[in-house]
Amino acid sequence: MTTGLSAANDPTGALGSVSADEWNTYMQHFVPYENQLLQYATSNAVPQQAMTTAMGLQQGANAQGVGIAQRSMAQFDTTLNPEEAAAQKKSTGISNALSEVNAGNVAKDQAVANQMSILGTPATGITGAQ
Amino acid sequence: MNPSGGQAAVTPSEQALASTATQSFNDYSARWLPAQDHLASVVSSMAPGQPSWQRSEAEGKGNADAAIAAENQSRARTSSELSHGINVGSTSFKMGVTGGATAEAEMKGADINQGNEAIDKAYLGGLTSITHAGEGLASAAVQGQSVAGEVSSRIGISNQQLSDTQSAQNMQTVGTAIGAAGQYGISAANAPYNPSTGQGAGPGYAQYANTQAPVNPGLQSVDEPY
Repeated sequence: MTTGLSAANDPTGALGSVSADEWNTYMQHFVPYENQLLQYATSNAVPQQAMTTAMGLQQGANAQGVGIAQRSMAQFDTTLNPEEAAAQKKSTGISNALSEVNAGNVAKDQAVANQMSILGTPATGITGAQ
Repeated sequence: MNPSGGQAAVTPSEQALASTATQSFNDYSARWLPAQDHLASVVSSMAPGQPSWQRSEAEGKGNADAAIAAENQSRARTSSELSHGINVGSTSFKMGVTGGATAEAEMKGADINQGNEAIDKAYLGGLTSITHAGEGLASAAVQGQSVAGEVSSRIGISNQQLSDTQSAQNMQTVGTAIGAAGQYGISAANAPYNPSTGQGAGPGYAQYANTQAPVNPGLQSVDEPY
């Protein structure tokens, strides 16, 4: 809030004070968020973090598969015999591994595209446009 | 030009310009800066790697949407198998059920990740809007145009709303979360400041909320056109 200088008696000083206050406001209220954006755009850790997060989320979701299968089987009052259980375990293991790797790769690609977009490279938009 | 050769007299135009600049910046500080700060805090809370209600909601909605879709697929598959004479106790039927369960879990993961990535985009879109507003203020500071900061903030917050709306339309699985994020930020410009929650446009907003823009007394005293 600019109050120190009188615009009537010292307009030049008042304008200078406003200019200084604007710059201070910019430094205090905007620069930290500019730095956040630059940090995201230039950090090598961002794609790796995105991969780790996505793979973790996919892994967590995949872990629900066993319970979903058990509840589904219970609905029909039936169970897997040992051979069927082994086949299901193998199939699910392969499928889960593939989905986790895919989730990580997609997230990494998206994070890199986001970084490129911020830095001005014509990549995927960061506002949600696909 | 000062014919006496001494210090130049202050003209009404100079007084008016300085008065307008001062009042404009004070008005911006009282009304728009708190809204800008509120938007910034909401956007900042969506940073990757941080737990936030927007991220939780987007991921939860993705999970729920996938469960609904999977349930429909399961019913269709069961109906089809039974209509083709496949018995419930057969290996084919049981492997179909377990395979469907695995697919449902994977689909949930994909939708949850999609929601998570959409919040990343909303976060970056928000930061971009804030930096655009900051550019305006920084430019105003070096050019002595205090009004530019307010205009820039108006544009920045408006762009953020458009960005969130577009994201919500494009990413329907997380539309609720992103739309709410935008509304949460934009509401600061439309709601009075609430000290208990820290939300709203700030203490200075109330005096202007239902009134016209304050008259600049400096302009009233100017008797020359400029």
